Amino acid sequence: MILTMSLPMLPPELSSSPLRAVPHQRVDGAARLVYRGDADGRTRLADLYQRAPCRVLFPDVDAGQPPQAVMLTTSGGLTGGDRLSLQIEAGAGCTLTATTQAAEKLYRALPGDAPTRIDIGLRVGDGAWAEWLAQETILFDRSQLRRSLSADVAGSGRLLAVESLVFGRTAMGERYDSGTLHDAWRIRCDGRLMWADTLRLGGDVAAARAQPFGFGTAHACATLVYVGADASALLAPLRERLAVLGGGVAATCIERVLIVRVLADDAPAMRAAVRIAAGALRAMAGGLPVRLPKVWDC
Amino acid sequence: MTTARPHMVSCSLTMGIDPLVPHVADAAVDAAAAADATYRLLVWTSPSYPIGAFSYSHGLEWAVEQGRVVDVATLVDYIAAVIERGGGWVDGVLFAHAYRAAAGDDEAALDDVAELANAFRASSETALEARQQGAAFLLVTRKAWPHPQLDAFAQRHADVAIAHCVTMALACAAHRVALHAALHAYLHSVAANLVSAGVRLVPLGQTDGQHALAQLRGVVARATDAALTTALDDLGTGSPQLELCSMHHETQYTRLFRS
Repeated sequence: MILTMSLPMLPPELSSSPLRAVPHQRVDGAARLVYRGDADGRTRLADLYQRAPCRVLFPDVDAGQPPQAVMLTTSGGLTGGDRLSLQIEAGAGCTLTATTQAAEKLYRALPGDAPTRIDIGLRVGDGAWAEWLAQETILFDRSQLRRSLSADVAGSGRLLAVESLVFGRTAMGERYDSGTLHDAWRIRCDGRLMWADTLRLGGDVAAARAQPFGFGTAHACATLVYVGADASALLAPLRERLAVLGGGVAATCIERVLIVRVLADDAPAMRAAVRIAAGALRAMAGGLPVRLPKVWDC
Repeated sequence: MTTARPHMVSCSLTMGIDPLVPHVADAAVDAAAAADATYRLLVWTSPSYPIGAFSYSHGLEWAVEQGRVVDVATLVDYIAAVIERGGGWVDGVLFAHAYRAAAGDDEAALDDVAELANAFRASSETALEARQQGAAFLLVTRKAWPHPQLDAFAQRHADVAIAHCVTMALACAAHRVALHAALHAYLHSVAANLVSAGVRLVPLGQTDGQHALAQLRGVVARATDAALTTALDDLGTGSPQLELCSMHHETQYTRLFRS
């Protein structure tokens, strides 16, 4: 009864297909992690909340690596109307790495669907070191993504954050020809907005990417941000490490925010560039191993 | 011409029809105000306005160095990308929002736009480009075209240079320059400045530069209209190769321009 009543409200192309007559069940996942330093100065998980399909794993880490939180989405991908919210707080003096277990897949949204929403909030306390090393988000044809990454870094806290996008896995014959993408960064230091950026594509996204001075032959892109008082001092040595990667990779520094942009022909090339840039920054700025968390090698 | 006509009309009508007098007098005042506004806009968007625009290429110098911009067609491509999908587009939308906040005398909203405008920069050189010109614009405009709103803004932001799109939008709102014309002129000045840079860098003949500017007429007009209806939450760019040009320019060996 409910089904038949809902049918007239669906667009004609959907109501004609019995397999798609029932709207997708939407997910509304969330994870919140709060870390605090204990009396001995060690980083401890002080609060954890998770709501399906968000799950957080805490793997053992190799010597020299910070405590690690690995986010995963048990739904195996996201589509129109789905929502995820990830909030990670590193209290004063904490050291931690947050990453994702695998690439996030953004599947085709149905006509009339709201965009998939992913909101990532990072809070870094005074003297803390926090990393958000997300693996790539793969955009399938007709996906709709609205993502925001908002970070607030206090005092002498430092943050290394990475997000990347793959416009269809070309080696698997996937194409990302139409859809919407709104991918926003907002970086604050002690509450003051320091850097804002939004990548925005819509409609015929293949044509939009092919516009002059758009994406050229790139099917993958990444943005890395490092926030810290030493950001400008790291720019020159970082550029030396990036030189081998060619013209699709460049870095700049605006006050205490260092930004690396990557355009690459495919996902493997983009990941290789991210490994070099993120590895160099975590080694130079954090005294950490160049090697990224193990999930990056799975 | 626009000033003379209403004045003549008012002379011929004030004799007989009393109810029309205030209306006609208003029209004359409006026309004079419109002329004043046009004059200000021409001054503020002139290359002779001393804000240092000539020293910025918005990454174009690297695109020329790389052989990506070699003629009128590729110069137009570069500038259209800036204005439709790059830093020029960002500035256009921010201009509209800053203007509305200033016209509504909403200092908190204006300061929020100012903070976003300073942060919404793809590279250190385009940040310098926006902030240095913004500070210079505010400084010279407060002296030559003083207004209490400009002074109040300068006092609130005494320690930080605010992007050009915001300080010019503020001046336009304070001095009653209409938003559409102001934004259209602002985006034209962005295009014209990059044409001038391209003419020097490629190099191109002066007439080629004017061909480029003529071809950009529709781009500037459409971006003006689109910027007026774009919410801040929906502001974004889609030209990462422009950003790479600007970043690579920072390490370009021989440079004429600061961006």
